[in-house]
This record gives sequence, structure tokens and C-alpha cells, in this order.
Amino acid sequence: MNWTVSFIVVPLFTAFFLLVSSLWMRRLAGYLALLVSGALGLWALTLLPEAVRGGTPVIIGGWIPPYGINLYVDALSMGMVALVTGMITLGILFQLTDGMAKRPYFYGLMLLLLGSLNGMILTGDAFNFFVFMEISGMATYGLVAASRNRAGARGAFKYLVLAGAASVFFLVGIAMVYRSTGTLNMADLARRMPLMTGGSALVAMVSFMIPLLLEAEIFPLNAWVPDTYKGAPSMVSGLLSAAVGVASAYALIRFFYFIFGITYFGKVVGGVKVAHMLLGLGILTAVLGELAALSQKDAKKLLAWSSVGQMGMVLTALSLTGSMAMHAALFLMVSHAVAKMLLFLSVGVIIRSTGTSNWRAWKGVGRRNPLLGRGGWR
Amino acid sequence: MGELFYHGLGFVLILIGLYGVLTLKNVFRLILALGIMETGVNIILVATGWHPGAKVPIIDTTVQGAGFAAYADPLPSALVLTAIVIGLGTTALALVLALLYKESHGTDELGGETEEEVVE
Repeated sequence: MNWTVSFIVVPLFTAFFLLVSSLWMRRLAGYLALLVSGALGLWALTLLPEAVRGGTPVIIGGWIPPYGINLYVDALSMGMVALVTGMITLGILFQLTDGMAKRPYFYGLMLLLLGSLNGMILTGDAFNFFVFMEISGMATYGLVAASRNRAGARGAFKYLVLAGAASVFFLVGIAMVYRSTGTLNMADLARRMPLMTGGSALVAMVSFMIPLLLEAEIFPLNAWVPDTYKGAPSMVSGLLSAAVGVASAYALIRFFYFIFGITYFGKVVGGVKVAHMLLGLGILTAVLGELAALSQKDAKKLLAWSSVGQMGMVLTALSLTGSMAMHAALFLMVSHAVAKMLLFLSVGVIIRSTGTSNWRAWKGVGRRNPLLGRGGWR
Repeated sequence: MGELFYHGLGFVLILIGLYGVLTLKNVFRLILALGIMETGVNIILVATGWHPGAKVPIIDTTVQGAGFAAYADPLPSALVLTAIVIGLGTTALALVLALLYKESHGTDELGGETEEEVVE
């Protein structure tokens, strides 16, 4: 019996337990959530050396992989699980010090997000991936709206409509690959990809890409970013880029490199290589995101656009198609996740102490509170 | 009617829904447009497992080898069931958020918000 499945099951069960138990215990909910996600994060770190030695498929329920749903553990997926779990643990820890500490459903949503993101990262089945993507979406809409104000409701609703419309295209992609290859298992799909004609493989690839690019905040699909980041509590804005965005970027790697492979990635459409189109989108996103960040007065919108720019850099590195490029993209993803999460948490504390999110009005914060002033340094 | 008809029908529904999502301003109409998109993709998925003259996939031990070809593929139908449940959940959540939007903004139309407010 392999216990890897606990990374998905334990947070989901704890999330539902927290929602039910909020009837009689309100105080302990946050500490229970912290215990669960902290323990899972440490455990993922201890599993990492073993995962580096080689990837293993994990069979669930005794169904052999092409027929049943399996998980896939290797250095990349276990490392991403450790990163995402660590970021969410940090978020819960921050939340315990905050005014929202007495809302058990908030921690339930955090654990729901943790379980579904781990599922997205670990699963070896394309449809299972879709299900976890939708669950993580629902947890995110709830968390964004948790600040219970005008901006929160607006940001959550816009994000829901755009992500919901984009995820429909993921199902179109699933229908296309299932029709041509007769399988939904990712490893099996990669093997049977030559059964698809070039044109339909491209359309399927674009369909899979649309929701992933939307959640990774890439240029034509990132209209939701400013409203959603502004409306969400700072900690949730941090998770949007450090956990949700990074998990989506990881899924892009999974679909591009491992399923469609360099052969389809390098296909020429209308005189332009697919990889070159992605390179263009990545550069455009990086430049536009950082330019938009420069002109923001609102600290949260500034960090939101900077996060867009960083994800554009990640896509640029990814579309260079090579193992060195992938190392660069992964390094950028990890450092971006940690830095942006900590920046959003610092901004949350500063907004709490000054009462404004306009960073030009933050003059003198460091003098009044030296420790907090240091927090803004990177 | 061949399976191409159903694929085409589903695709047209997705495009109608997408047009709605991109152009409408009313929050409740946006949710309706999302529902139309989901219905369209469900039709495509069901049509993937079906071919003209396919039998209901209830199979006993007498069916062997090439005999399976006469039946519809049940797996896409199972996928559609899951997709319908997810769609229901998303729609319910969207309606709650739409109500929250309407209560906090006093209108059910998106757009035109310029107020500055502080969110911790």
C-alpha cells in the first residue's frame, strides 16, 4: 500500500470535517488546518530524496494504469507538492494572526485548495486533472469572495465566469484526444499521440492550453487579474500567484513536454512554429505586465501585474524547448512563488497597520515599526 | 443524422455561449451563457462515444471480440455525468456570488466601477 494518495485525501477529509465541526468547535479549526498542512509539507520534503532517484506510478484501487486512474510521483511532481503545501501552510499561519481567524469555513476552503492542487499535480489521468482543476477553482472563488466586500464579490464573479468558460475548452480537448486515441491516461496518451493527425492534435493542444494559460495569467487571457487580486484578502492574492498560478504552469509543462512532446510543440501553423507563438505570448506578457505594474498606485495591483510579468518570463523560458530552458523555468517558478507570497503577506500587514493600499501613502511605516519596514525588502 | 451533426450542434452551442460570456453585462445572463457552453460540450462528449445504430452498452458474457463494436462506448457518458455535477456546483456558486454582487453594488450589471476601497 502506497500512502501518496494521502496528499489529496487527508486535506479533503479535513476540509469537510472542519465545515461540519464548525457547529461546535470554532477556535481549534485553524490549528487543525495548520497541523494537517504543516505535517503534509514536511512529509513531502522527506519523500523528495526518494522521488529524485526515479519516478513511480502509484496504482489506486487495484486498477492497472491504462484502465484505472493512477498518480505519478517523480522529483518534479513531489517538489511541486512540497512547494504548494508549504505556501498554503504559510497562508494558514498568517491567517491565524488575523481577524478572520474565527471563521472555520475559511480554513476548510484553504484545505480544499491544498487537496485539489496536490491532485492536479500528482494525477496521471487527463479527466481526473480536469476534476481537480474545477475543485481548485471553486475553492479559489470562495477564498477571493471571503473578504465580503464590493471588490471581493466583483473579483470572484469575474474570475468564475472567465475560468468557467475556459474550462469548457479543456473538455473539448479531452473529447478530441479520447476520440482519436481511446485513452485518457497521460502516459498512454503520450504513447498513442502519433494516432492523431497533426491538425487535430494542434486543436486539442490549444484547447488544453486555454484554461491553463488563463490560470497562469498569460497575456490575452489575464483580464481578470487586477480585479481579482485587488478584491481578495492579501494572503489569498499571494496564493493565487504562488499556488494556483504555479500549479497551472507545472500543468503546462506536463501537457507540453510529456503528452504532446517536442514534435507537436515544434509544428508549423500558418508559417509560424507553435513554440514561437508561445515565445511571443510570453515576451508580450512579461513586458506588458511589468509596464502595467510600474504605473500602479495600489500596492496589491502592483504586485498582481508584477506576478503577471513573472509568469510571462516562465512561459518564455518554457517555450525555448530544452532541458536547460525547463530548469530555468522551474527555478523561476519556485523563486517567484516564494517571493510573491512573502511580498503579499508583508503588504497585508502594512495595509492592516496603515489602513490604505496606496503605497505612496505608506511614508514612515518603517520609522513607526522598524521590523515591518524590513519586511518590504526582498 | 450522423454523429457529425451532434458534434456540430455542440460546437455551435459553445460558440453561442462564448459570445454571451464575452459580450453580456448582466450577471445572471452571464451565468446562463456559461450553462449553454457546458451543455454544448456535454453534447460533444456524448457524441464521442456514440455512432449511428449503436446499442445501449449493457453487455453480458455472450458478447465476444468484434461484437463489442455494435455498442456505444459508456466511458464518455460517465465523463458527462461528472461534468454535469461539476457544472451544477459551479452554477450554484456563481448564483451566490451574483447575489453577493447585486447586494453590494446595488445593480446586476458589470462594469463602470471606479471607486477606491481598501481590502486588507
